[in-house]
Amino acid sequence: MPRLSVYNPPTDLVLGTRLNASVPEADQIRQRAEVDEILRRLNNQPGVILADEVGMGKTFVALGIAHSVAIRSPHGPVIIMVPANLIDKWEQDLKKFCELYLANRHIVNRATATSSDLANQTVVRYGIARHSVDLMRLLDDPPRERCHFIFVAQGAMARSPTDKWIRLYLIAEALRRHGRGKANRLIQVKKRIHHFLAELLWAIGEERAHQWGEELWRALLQTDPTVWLSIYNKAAQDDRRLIDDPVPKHIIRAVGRIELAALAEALKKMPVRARGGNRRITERLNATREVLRKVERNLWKEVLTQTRWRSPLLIMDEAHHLKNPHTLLARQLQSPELEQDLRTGDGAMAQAFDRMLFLTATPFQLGHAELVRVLERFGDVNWDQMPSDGLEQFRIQLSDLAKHLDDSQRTAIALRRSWEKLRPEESSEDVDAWWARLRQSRREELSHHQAAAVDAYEAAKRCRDAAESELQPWIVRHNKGTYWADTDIPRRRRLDGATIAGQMQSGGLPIPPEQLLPFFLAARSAVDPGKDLLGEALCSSYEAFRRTRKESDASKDEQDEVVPADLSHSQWYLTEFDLALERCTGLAHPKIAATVRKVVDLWESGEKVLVFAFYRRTCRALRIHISQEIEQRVIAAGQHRLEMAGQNGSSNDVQRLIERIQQRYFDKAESAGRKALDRTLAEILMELSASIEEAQITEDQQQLLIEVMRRFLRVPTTLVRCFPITELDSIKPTEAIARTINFADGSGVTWRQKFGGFIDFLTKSCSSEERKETFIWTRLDQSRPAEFASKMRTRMPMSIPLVSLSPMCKLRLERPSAKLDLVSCGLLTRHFFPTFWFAAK
Amino acid sequence: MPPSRSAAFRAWAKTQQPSDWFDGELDSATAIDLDPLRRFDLQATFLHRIRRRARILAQLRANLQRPVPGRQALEWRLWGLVGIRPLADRLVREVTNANSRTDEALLTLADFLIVLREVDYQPIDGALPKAQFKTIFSAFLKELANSLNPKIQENSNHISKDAMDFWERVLEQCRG
Repeated sequence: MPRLSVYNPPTDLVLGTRLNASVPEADQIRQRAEVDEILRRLNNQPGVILADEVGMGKTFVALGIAHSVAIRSPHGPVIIMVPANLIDKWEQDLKKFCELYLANRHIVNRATATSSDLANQTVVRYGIARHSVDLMRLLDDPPRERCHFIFVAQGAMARSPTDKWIRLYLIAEALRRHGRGKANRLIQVKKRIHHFLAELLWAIGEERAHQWGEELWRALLQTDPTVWLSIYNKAAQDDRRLIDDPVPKHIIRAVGRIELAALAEALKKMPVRARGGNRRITERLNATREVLRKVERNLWKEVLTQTRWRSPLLIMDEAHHLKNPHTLLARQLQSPELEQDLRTGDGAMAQAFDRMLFLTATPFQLGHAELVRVLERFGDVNWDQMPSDGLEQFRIQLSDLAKHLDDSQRTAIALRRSWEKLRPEESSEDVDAWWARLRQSRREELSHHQAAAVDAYEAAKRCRDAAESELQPWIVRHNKGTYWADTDIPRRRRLDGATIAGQMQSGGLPIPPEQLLPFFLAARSAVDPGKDLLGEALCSSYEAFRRTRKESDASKDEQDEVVPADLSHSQWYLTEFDLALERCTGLAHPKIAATVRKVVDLWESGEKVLVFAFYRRTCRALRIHISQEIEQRVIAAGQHRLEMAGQNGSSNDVQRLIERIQQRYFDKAESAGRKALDRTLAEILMELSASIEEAQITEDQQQLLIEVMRRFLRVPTTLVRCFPITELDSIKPTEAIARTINFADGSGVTWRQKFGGFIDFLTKSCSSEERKETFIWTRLDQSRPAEFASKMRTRMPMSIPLVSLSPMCKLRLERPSAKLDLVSCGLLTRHFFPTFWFAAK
Repeated sequence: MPPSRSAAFRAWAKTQQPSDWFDGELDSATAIDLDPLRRFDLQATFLHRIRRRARILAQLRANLQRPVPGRQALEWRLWGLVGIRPLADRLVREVTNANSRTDEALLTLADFLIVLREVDYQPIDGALPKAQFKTIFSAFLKELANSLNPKIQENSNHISKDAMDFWERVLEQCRG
């Protein structure tokens, strides 16, 4: 394979060579080493999987590689395919990456770039394509203005284009081709159609963006789409001007090859004057739209099969989605084999890329066969630049790899089995010494089981080494250490089944006797293979079971054998189930009860908790039950503290006490308590004034930070644990505040330390862009809570510390984006956010 | 060699094996299953136990619904050596002998009665008519429910109230 210079890091990439304070130095150095190593491998092979654990900076490594390749490659932009809901995160990370790791470069979004931006040699241009047409437009640009990176939403290519400009072009072209000669009706339509175009194209309001009115449509219909940009911009108001040709060249070429007679036929039936009432006109428009949709689908097939474009590199985020070659995403990369099998998006990117870089923290979940299937996608690169037998050699390599991985797993299972056969008298307590002795012993000195274990070990090791050697070129992976940095706290502790409830037995949580009946009835009502999800839902929560039962569209479980129909008499059982459940609250469900207890125990000791559940209903139930449990424990904790001080109090007394503290120390701005609190919080900022100054945080913004810190202290959950509540009437305000913010939680961390860590994070680790977002969000929360909540659900910046949230706000992150939730929570829980997150997978 | 002696010999031979004797499973050439889902055994879980029993009961019900030549044949199905009654007695013994899973055993027995109650006989020409089947079967079911109940009541102190209430409701249905 010829050596390609694009696979060398450029000098302006200073990741790891010019260290900064925002990211731990060790991480920067490792990330640079990964960039260098992956580029070296890409020089010789079609692709690499970067499989670092979550939170190790895969994004920065990928951007380092993308920049290295994009800046030098003559073959189009680097394509970064990411799940649609992560595009904003990537865009934000790109800004941070440029600020931290690119010397003398700045980035511009192609959509907002000025002509001087585009002419600037030091800019890095990027674009965002949420739809296939966006991508086509971006690929069209001349090399001088073309994006270096394009972020493409993973579903973009699988959707047929529904773009008004392309529809307009199809109509114009159909009228041009068929509206002449003796086609009197169509010629009439051609003259009048501009009256109805806005409605036909779903572009009502478009004509208000300029002064031309319907005349603009007429002008566009009579000209070639290559000049539409200038025609439209002459008429358009400044904020509605186009920045790129509205119809990509690939589309123009493809339209030339498709049949438009059906569309022309439909257009004949379009009204030429507004007669017959609105209903009649709408009917005709709908009929034409329907035909237009069919033509668009044909157009897209033509575009996919005929358009050839090229990119030096595909970066695929969340690449484990490729493990099934039959999914829409995977089919986009493969060359379609049969025309009749073609679905929208199939083959859209087949052989378009010179190389591929896949990002995934979980390269496989159920077995290494998934990993091999992901690797197979590297076979879809453009092999033209490689040796003639490159693809064949690649397939042989993968086949060998699959075989070695199988052997490795098989021998590992055999080793486990032979190990399990060893009797107590055949082993020893000092396992290491015993094993070393065993391996050195002569064969005749070993028992049958010992010899079998030694043989199995040798075979397993040999096969594992062989598999590792085959796998090594394709994967780069770094794991986090066993312990949290600079501590002896294990990073991971696994509690299976019943152990979450503190029970020692292995296996699942037992069903309490008083709940056996509802479990039995629910299980009995769900014995059909097609209703297996009901069983799973039942094991999750009663709420999930009820919901799943209502939906009752569970898919078939192929593992169950076929059973006679109607064996469950489900209605009788379900009626009995409802009766039985009336006596059991959702909280009584063994898994819910154990989870609520564990979560609130952890919370009570000051820990932060992230709860994942498969079912959204279970998430919702947990949120409710945990909130209720916390409310009860807050009161109980308050009563306990009063009791310890020799004072008795009812739950009402505790609530009143908390309200008094809130008034004296938080709500009345002129009270001595509030003044003492603000003084102390200002002192914390003062101690970090150097960082605050360096980060250019204004006076106003500092006041916002104080407001945020105050809110965290004001909530009952903080007050009841940290504030000297029993001494409210006797203690001096300064002393009360000092004791509150110096109160250490279960991990030995005080509020003062948490606030310090938060400000440190904000000033040193966040980029200026992230800081800006943070303060925008803080204000948003204060003034427009509804808007904040809506923004929170749709677009949450990943790296901001969410200072604006109060600790007890009920977050609803119930959407299928485990990655987003996990990463957010990783960042948040590391820094400041002492509450619960519920994420439905 | 008769089967019982053969089995006894095999059991004795097993006790005589030295520790390093050939181990059939260890040395077997059975292919190791690499499918992780298949290696994860759920069969012992409550849900799967219930499902398994449900399938057996469904089969039992299907057998009862098949045409039967005459009264005697039906009585054999109900009272015979491998009929319903001996099976019911066995399920009752499971309730009375159960150590920790009394409720589950009772629920299985109740389930058994529910399935019997829902038997829908499907005669053909020449077989026992539906009306006669119903007369015999209803009487059998009522008698069965009445005869099982005292043994269950004797053990009611080991059974939760919910399960007992459920059992009562099932009995009512069988008697009705």
